[in-house]
Amino acid sequence: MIDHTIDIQQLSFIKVVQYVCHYLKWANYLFFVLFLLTVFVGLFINSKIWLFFPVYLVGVVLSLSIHEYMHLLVIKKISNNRYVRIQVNWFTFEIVPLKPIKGLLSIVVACSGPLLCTLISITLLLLRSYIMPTSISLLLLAVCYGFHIISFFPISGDGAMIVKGITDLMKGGEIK
Amino acid sequence: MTNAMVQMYFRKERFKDNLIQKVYDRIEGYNAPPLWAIVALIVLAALAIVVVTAASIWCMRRGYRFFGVDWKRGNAGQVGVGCLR
Repeated sequence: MIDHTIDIQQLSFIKVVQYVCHYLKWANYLFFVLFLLTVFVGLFINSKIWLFFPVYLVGVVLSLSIHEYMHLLVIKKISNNRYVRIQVNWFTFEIVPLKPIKGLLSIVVACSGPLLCTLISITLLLLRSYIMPTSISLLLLAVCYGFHIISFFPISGDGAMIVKGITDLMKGGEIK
Repeated sequence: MTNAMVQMYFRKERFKDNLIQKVYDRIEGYNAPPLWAIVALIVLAALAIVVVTAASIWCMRRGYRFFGVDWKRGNAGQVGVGCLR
């Protein structure tokens, strides 16, 4: 379990990938079961089974890293936070800005990560439909990225932050 | 009796073959979703997000505390961004 405060300038993409790998070490049971199910389906239809390993790596690790790194990038660009608190345990991967971000800015920060992953997923789906319609790896990749749409719902940290941002705006009188 | 059982067996096998062929076709992409299906999926997901978020705010205004966000002191405390909570 990781729970520490870190300077936002020191956080590179590689560092985020390391955190995600640490997170997957704890949360890997769920991902591993999903992976086994996928492999089972792959064996059933006798397709190129080795392709699932890069798809798993690119789809899960890279998508989570891009998601979290986008949050960090936007926090770095639009807020005056110098330090963020990073919490990683078996279920949670959470980035908490130390200085509170309010209103519209918090909505932008929360939307940045899942929005990019969802856009990548849509691009992959369109790519599959029109350029490589029989590629099963591309479909799996699109599904992996598409799962990030769950982050928009308030059960996840991002969704809760969007709700908080809207609440701030409504209470501030900007939205009635 | 034996003939009926044989017919039943053939029907079962045909059903299984059809099912496997459908799964195979679907996964291999011979029935790749058209553009309207992808757009419909995105629109449905966006609608679901808007409805769930609006319902959450509606509940909060009626006094429910929600994942660390409170209507009365909504600005207090910072919610972290992340994949799961």
